[in-house]
Amino acid sequence: MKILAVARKSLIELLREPMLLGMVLLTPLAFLLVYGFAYQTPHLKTYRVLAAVNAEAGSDAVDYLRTLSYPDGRPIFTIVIISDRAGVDPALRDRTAAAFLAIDQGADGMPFSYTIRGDALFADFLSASSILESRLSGYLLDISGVRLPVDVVEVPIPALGFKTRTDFSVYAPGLLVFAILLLIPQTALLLGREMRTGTMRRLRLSGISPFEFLGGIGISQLVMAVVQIVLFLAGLVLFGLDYTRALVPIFLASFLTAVSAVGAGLVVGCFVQNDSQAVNLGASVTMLQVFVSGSFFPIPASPLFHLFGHEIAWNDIFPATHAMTALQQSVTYGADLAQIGFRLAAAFVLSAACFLIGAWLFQWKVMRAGKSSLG
Amino acid sequence: MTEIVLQTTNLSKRFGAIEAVKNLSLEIRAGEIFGFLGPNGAGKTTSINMICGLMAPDSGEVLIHGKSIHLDGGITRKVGVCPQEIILWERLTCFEQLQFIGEMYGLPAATARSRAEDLLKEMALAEKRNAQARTLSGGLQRRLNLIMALVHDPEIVILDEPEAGLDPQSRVRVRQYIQSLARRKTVILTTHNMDEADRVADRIAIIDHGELLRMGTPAELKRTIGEGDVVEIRLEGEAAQRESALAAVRGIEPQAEVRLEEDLLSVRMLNAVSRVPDLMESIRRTGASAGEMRIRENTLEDVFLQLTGRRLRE
Repeated sequence: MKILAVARKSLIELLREPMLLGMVLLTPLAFLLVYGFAYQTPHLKTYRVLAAVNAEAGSDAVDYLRTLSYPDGRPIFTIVIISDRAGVDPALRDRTAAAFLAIDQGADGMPFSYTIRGDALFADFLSASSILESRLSGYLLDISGVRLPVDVVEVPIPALGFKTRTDFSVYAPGLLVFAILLLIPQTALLLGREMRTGTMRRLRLSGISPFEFLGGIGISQLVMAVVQIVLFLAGLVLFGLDYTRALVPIFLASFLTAVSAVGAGLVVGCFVQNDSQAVNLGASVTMLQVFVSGSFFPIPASPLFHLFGHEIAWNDIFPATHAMTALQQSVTYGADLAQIGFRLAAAFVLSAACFLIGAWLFQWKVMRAGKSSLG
Repeated sequence: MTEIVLQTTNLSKRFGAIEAVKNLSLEIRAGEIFGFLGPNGAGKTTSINMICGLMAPDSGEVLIHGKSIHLDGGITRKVGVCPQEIILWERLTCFEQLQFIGEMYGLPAATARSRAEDLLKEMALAEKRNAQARTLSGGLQRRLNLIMALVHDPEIVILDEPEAGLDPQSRVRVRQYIQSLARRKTVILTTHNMDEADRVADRIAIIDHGELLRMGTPAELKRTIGEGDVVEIRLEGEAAQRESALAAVRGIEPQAEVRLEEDLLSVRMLNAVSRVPDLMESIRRTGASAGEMRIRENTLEDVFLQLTGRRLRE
């Protein structure tokens, strides 16, 4: 079968090109290592807070804050008392301190007043300031003789497989989607190379159909994708993720992401004439999909309509968005197939559409007899 | 009468303001080696691209065994094309290339493998069976490029400048191989090399500026420009003396065709050898002197020169 012959040929070529193979298989693992080590700290961290105390009751308040701890015994705050406020802004700017707490004399009979300063774009400040606010207001009312009627309690959403929830567990699905989307430039590269070397001309002469050729390329890339996914999931285990309960949904979502990436790569490949164009355009499309799918940062998108009870926004036109959602739900929260079924189906339909568009474009732009160079 | 396997009727192709091929009509017979002779940019490759279905003509038709290739695209599988450029998969071995392209033409895998082995032996590439294409020398790549056109055992083989860029050893081998294909297959050969066309082709079409100028066997074509041999004399002396020598030589034999290109005096005449002393004497009398001299038969270069007023290499 021609389709299998094309797949075999493409795989042989890939295996004989260590640089390309390394880019696709090792780059995601490198990201995994960096993120794994960088974000392995527990989500509930100890915040460093600079404090300036100008009230008699302030020292007791600071002592109170120092007694606060998480259930595992780790302190919530490290309070550093300062006398010179000149170093506050640099520390906040450099993010060596999560917040600055100023405790001054209170007015109207209150034992003290307080101000919390920090960078509102710094996640640590947002967390630290909210805990400081809730605790200090409670403490203030407490020593003034009035108790708060409601206490603030943080209850983390249970995460699959993690003993302690870390930022890494939040980033892992996005990293996986990003890794798989690297197949876009690689797939486009295979087509760009056939154009550059002229071998596409040989293939056209042989009478191969776009479906046979693109199908073969697609199969070879999906084989690569499976290897990539297995390596990545193995890497996740090294960083403490036990995802075996949701292995099937995770693998399906990953595989469908790969199908969509290969489809997008084929579409990109129809617009390039050589390898470098393929890599440049393919990388741009990859980054676009990474961002719109919310793989790295959540994208606020207003729902346009509802489908089977699911909100559909503008970025849901990309299969990677659905795959990302499915992966988030299965990797982080252990969602089963039924819970992510809609997302998987949407990713499949959009991926298939992507492949069909690629095949049609390929027939129209590359395979049909048309203009060529003079001779 | 020999069967016509390939026919083009009024084939035309234009690229913007340039008319690359103008009303090209050819009939190519089964088993012949048909040469397409013309300078670079004459329209040879464009014609070939239309014949093998890679390029759609603006007008005209290509028929293989009487069937239009535009109506029956599958019939182009009877054609094997060796392109002018080396087109290979850089990281596949010689054997893998041949097997793969054979399968692309629809051969069963076992047949493709067997054909690949045979062709590697025929083209003396068996030792390089497992070498990747990118590691081969230019000459070996060209040989491989040639047999890639033959894996599916096509009835018509189109070779676009097959000797371009070949070392002498590979050139001899490729030429022998093309001649060995004669009678078994119909071979269409494009070239701007007159010797190649003269030695190999049964019939030749001379093409320039996209137009068919003349078609026939090499002997027929050479006869069209007159009988006799050509004496070429390299003249030494001033330009005026060379012009005088030209006039003097014309006076010897009014029937002779005499031409002066820079310092090269060419005289085509009957019994050229016996008239050489007369020629030399007439030149000497003008004050010019003769340097290098040679006598040769008519060539296709002469035919092209007469048809276009310029040499093929210009």
